[in-house]
Amino acid sequence: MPGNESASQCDDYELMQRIARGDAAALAVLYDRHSALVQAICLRIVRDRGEAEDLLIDIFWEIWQRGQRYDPARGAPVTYLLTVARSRSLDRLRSSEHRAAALDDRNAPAAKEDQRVGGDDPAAGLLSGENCARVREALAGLEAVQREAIELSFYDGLSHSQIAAKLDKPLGTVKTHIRQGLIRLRDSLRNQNE
Amino acid sequence: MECRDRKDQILLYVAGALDEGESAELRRHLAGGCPECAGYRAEAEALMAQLPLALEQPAVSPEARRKLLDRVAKSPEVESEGPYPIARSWDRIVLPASIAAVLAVAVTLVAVSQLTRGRGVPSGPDARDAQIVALEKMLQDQALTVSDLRQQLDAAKLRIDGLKYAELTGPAQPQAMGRVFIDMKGGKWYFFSDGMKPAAPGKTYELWVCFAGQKHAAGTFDVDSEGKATLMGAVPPLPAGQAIMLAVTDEPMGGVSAPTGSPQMVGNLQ
Repeated sequence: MPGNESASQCDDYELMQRIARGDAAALAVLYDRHSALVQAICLRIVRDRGEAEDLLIDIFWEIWQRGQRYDPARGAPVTYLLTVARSRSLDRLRSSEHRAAALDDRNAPAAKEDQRVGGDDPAAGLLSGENCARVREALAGLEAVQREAIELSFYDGLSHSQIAAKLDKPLGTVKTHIRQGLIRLRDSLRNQNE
Repeated sequence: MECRDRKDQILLYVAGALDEGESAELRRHLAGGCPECAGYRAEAEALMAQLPLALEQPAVSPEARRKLLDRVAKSPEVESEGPYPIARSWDRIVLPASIAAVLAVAVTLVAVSQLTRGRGVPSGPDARDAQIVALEKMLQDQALTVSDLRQQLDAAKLRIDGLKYAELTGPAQPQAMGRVFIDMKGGKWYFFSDGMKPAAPGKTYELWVCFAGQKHAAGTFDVDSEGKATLMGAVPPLPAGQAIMLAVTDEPMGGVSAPTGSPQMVGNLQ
């Protein structure tokens, strides 16, 4: 049985330990904390609300089934969660017809119409607020082409040559944009932390 | 190169923004267990994980939460401190009946082998000839049993309507095997690996379905300490009458849309 401490009072590391032992309440707490963020990255990648919701369930189910694979030495649980979310979303994008739909919708403002910061669930706002504003500010500080190249790589899973073709830029230029953008992003976030 | 000079390089490596040559060199260094660079890698992974914080976060449907927790409640070995019921049935991995039938035959084969191995053998010099005869008979019986069960297994495979199967092996991972079951009726495919080495740092494994000169990404996976992994998905439209090959390659984290890594194992769909 889990310890006496309520799962809701545990930090993410403790929740992952409990999940690995089969503690469903711990999974529920982890879900309440991070589901909005996980769904956000799924939606950003697959561009379909229904598909993103299916992915959200599948990702937390995977965490439930394979929680013991999480290695705290490699990073925070939310890092692991988002890595899994990105990976599975890109898998889904590549393996389904949604790629075509997503590409068609990529410039459609309607895709974002029903997205609200934080959502209705107060727990969903745990990671919005200060942290989110900090990252948005850091991204806004990049040159537009740097930001676009990083996003095409990170969210769309495009290779450098695919990004070069999409942006109509030489391959070397794209690589430079990504390198400089990432380093600038890191430095900017570090400076904000200090 | 000093480790502190690798910090930028590691960031680009984690983001998949390094050339293959640079990646390979860095991978070798990281595989050596350098603690300083492992720290840089963790920092870089944390940075990349922050990018989604900039996204708008849409409201999550309460229905999604309910579906997840219902599914969890039905899974075995739930230790619940709240309103989640404890279930202890052995159905955590739900297999289609067709695959279960194949596995049941395999389990029977193993059980028979174990039972025959445990039989007593007479001892003493006078019984030596009898022992040899008895052991030869036992071996013959076992061989016949195994042969019979293999035939049953083959027949079972053929009988299972709509099930396709492939075994994946390769010299890059001589101890490993992958198995793919495609349940054409159910529209699902399942991949199981065993004995695979962990992917190199910054890498993951990716499964491919190859036919008509095209390679289709079927998903990425990482293996546990025993080299095991499972993957499943919906069956894409497959061409009739054409050879279909399955392959696993190692690729950058997050996977790629076309294979770039080295083949780890391959197999043909039966």
